Amino acid sequence: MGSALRGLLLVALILSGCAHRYVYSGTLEAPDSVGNVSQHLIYWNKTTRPLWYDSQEGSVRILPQCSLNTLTYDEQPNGIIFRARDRDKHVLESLPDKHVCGRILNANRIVDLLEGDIGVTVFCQDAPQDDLDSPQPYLKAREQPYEFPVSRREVQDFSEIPKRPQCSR
Amino acid sequence: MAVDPTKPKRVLVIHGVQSGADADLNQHKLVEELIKNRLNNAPLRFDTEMYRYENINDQAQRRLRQVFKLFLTNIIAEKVVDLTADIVLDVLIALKGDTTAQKIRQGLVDRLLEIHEEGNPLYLVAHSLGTIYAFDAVNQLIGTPGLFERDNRKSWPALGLITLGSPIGLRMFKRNRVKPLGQGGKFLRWINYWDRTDPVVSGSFYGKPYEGYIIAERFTTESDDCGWIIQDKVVDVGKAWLPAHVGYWSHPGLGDDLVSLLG
Repeated sequence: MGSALRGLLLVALILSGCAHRYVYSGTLEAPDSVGNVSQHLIYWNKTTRPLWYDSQEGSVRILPQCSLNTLTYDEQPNGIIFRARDRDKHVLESLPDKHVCGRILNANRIVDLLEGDIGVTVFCQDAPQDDLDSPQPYLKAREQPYEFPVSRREVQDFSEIPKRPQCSR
Repeated sequence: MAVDPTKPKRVLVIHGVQSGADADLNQHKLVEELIKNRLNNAPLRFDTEMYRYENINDQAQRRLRQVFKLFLTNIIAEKVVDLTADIVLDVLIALKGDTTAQKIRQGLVDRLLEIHEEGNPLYLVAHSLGTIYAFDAVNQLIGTPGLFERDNRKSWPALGLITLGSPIGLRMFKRNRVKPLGQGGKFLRWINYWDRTDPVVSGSFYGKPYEGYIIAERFTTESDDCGWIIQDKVVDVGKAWLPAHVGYWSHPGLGDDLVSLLG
């Protein structure tokens, strides 16, 4: 039993080693909800394996500069959606679903997202619940989508995923 | 005592199934490193600590593991059997929920209350089997007079629950609902991260991917008094099967979400 377990672990390690890992990322300069123009980084990652299952991150993330917020657009049955959290306030009255704070427009599944221009909508703004939350502004809500230029690169491991743009203010 | 927003945020890390002893467990250092790395020099006051319970498990298993050793003469076989027994018995203790599991859970509850007394805003990060103890501890405290008052987050001993590679969706653990916080407008966040090939999450020994979208979100209720925001998040840690189960600790996506939660 011990050798069988070791064998399985070895196979898993070898298969993991054969994997190709890709990071998709891009940045956009745009105003946030308090009017500051800053950088916003978008990224997600995928893994392809020649001998086992492929996998991909279930969320596309956007990291604003000079804010600790992380917007996550999660793959759901009805698309890739920025789902409202406790501190996201819907500010576009014309939109019916108050649980949806934005969408990725290019595809309904992250596996189908490719490099190029990625359309992203934002309908909410940061609204701290109380003094336990500090302000974390993000991309200004608007009806028109933002277009992020995204490129793909292969990486050794996901520690190479780019970090939040450093704040220079 | 109330949560003091001027104090540093505290992340309490609860480990999962483990071999070895308490002294070997330092996953809180990995969480600290991950958060610092993803902060990219942005300012955030926080610290991390571990809740360890492997010695309690080992003490409860000692006699049985000694019996196993009586039947083995080969030192390698002895090590393999002991390691396997250590892991399997950890799971059985949690499944059975007897006095050992109660002792582990109560130890965690006590630590949560101590940190609450100190005033640090607290977030739980639990892995694997530890997610069961963390889930139970938080739900045990909800309903305690003076704690988890829905509209007064300063009365909350935990402001968020993060679970990684949790088996909580498996039927054998018999958990399916969170305890409601009552009427009000504030929400307790539970974010459940899982890699599709993680066998502890899917219950598939061969790592067949779990194809659905929700595990923990099934635990919510539609009523206004629920008070929880529960979100499942799929991650791709770049590894598969058991390496995926232990690969969460360094995943940048998780780190960025932790920064956002604490920030």
